[in-house]
Amino acid sequence: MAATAPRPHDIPDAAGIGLREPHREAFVAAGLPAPWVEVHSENYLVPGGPRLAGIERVRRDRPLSCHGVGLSLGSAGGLDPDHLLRLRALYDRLQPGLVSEHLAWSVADGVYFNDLLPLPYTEESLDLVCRNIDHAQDALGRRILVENPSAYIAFADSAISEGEFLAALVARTGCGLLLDVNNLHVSATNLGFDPRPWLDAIPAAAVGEIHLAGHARLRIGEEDLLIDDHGSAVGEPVMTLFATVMRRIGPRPVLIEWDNDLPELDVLLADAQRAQRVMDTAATVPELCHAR
Amino acid sequence: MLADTQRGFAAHLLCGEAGIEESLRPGLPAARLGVYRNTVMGSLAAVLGQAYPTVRRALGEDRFTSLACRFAAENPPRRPMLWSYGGDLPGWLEAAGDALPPWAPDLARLDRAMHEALFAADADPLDPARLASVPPDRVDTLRLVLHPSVRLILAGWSVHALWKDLDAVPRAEPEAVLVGRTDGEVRCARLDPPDGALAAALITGRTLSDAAAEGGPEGGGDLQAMLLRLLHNRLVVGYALDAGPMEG
Repeated sequence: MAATAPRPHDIPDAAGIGLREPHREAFVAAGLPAPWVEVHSENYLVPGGPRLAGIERVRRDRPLSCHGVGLSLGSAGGLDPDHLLRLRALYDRLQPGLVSEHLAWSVADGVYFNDLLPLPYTEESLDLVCRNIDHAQDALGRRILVENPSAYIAFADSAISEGEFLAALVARTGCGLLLDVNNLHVSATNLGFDPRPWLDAIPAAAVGEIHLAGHARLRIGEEDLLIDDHGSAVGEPVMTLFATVMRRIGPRPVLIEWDNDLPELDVLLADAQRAQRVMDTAATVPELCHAR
Repeated sequence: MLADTQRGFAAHLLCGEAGIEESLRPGLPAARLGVYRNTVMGSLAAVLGQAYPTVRRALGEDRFTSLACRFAAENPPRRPMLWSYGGDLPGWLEAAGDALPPWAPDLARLDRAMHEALFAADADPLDPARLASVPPDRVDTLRLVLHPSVRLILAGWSVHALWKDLDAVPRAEPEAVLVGRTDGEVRCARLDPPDGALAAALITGRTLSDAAAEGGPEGGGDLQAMLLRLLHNRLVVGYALDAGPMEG
């Protein structure tokens, strides 16, 4: 495949979309109306067929980011070497401009849970996740971005704040960060913390990508929780927090994720344009601590 | 230990087992754990629903989801590529009984074959002219190599008609369904049992003469029509000839 693989293409500091299979054909037919797209890596770990051919078609003309949802950087049992090989082959084929994973676990004793599950933020977890990131970056031959999770619970033995935990991952492994502003808002609301010191704690220069998405408010037991369902337009509080992030760290590749109750492609593109305007406006406001 | 925490969390996700709530920060309602359990089970049921769309419609959303959640708790995924998850569902439905319609496992096999065919490896079709160049005295020893997407379902019920129209009345009549992907599109065709036996022999790499013996003229199968069908649908990707007789 090396002879036909596209050259790596940097992801621009602009608002792209998470491209989902039901939108792929419409996206191509409309002339690829987004500056870049991101896909979930595991959806393209297929032997062949129209799905793989379709994303190669998109990749020919647009920068592509690959977002892994199954590597499980937080697994106590370490990473699956077969899965790393599969991902490596896909990334060598698609040459994504960015590759990302999550600060979470989804595999225990060989069972894959289709969710991004929370870790206790302890020294034991920090050592383990650093080892797993080193392993992943080595095996993939690339720097990866690590995304902050959305959380509904926290563990009693968590002794490190999430922001400090992410900063330590960057310092010890050289990984970058994928700042999911919706996840930050969801976690901060559900767990009752202030996102500002969280933002102070992470190294701005390490943020290589931003995610935005919609969330839902649901009654769970005796309380309302924010659920990270990626099933609606980006909420106003998240856009406001995104504007704050932009004023602090400057423009970045920004992505709209929408996974459930998919709307027409135009609706998704309109949300990306909304994010682009927020980013453009923030660029005209004096930056407090622009570091990159 | 982190490994113990994850094991406890996993037991909660799959079986609702208690215990993990003791690790939570004091003051956080244990009901919050239910968000994770709902996400995991709900998303696996949705994945199975995408892989078995006709069964889902035939059984109805609620009944399918409840079966899918039970299946997922007993057979959780072992690989993160969820398009490949759930291949054991037809057999599980057969064993589950559950007063399910007797045709449900066969319909599930057809859904599964079509789902797998969509993701099977690519291969270029054989130019039929190359088959024409096989010497006539060697044709009997020819074995076809079929496209990686080709699947054959041997069913005890008329699931092809049901797949086309869920309002069709299922009949307890054996049939075969041939599935394959042509130019990126998965198609299926109903075969009578003799043609099904013929197709099964060709798929498993038997020679044309052996295949003809399995389902051929006495059994009612039509080898020539089957070859034309496979070639027309661009499902033949190669062939092999057995070594010819030694010539002195």
